[in-house]
Amino acid sequence: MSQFRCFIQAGSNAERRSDQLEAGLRDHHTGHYPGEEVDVTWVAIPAGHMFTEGRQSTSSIVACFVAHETNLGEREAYMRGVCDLWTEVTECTDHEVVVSFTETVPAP
Amino acid sequence: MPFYHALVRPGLLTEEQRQRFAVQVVDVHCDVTGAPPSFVHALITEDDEDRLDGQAAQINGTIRAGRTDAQKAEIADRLSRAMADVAGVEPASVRTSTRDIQASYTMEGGALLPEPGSPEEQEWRDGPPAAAGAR
Repeated sequence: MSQFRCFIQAGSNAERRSDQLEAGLRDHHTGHYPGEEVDVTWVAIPAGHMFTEGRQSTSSIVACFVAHETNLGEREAYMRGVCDLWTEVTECTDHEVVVSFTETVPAP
Repeated sequence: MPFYHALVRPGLLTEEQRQRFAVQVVDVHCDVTGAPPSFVHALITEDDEDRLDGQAAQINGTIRAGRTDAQKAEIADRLSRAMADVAGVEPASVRTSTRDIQASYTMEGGALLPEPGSPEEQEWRDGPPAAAGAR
């Protein structure tokens, strides 16, 4: 099963609106892979533990583990959708969301 | 990206020490690679599950593929020494490693990251978008 692991800052809009984000992530994944369920996990990072450019971070990191092989265009569209969802729901800038993509296709 | 995760012994670092180390991460990574500092993330968490096997800290960096072995070795050596210096422990008690990820598998700043050494990277280095409120 595919999975999103979301690392967010405690007390941020991302934490306050995680239900909305989770629903959006599920819809997004289903839009790309109809009929598939996806697991979503959250890690809220306390202040003083994550830094960007050496300062307290306001960024979210969304790690996508997708059980499909992809080409560049598919991958970019998938990550773009996650980025757009995040900026829309949390009102963050696109520099405050990092989206990573890992293909988790089982070896033949 | 890059993203560095330091797993440390419980109580090893104060908040002030964590921030000092995070600044060192930026300095080392950017000095070795020339990457823009605004993209350097550092997460520091305590080892609550006894995974360090007696070590003081373990640092895992996820960086764009394309760095040379010498660059990766320099990053690992300097970050281990930086953590040891900040925490007041022996450098040998800190282990640092890096893992490569292809640039096209990460989106940040609303765009795919450029491959190291590509023409797109020079543009990226010269002018990260000005709208980056969190940088």
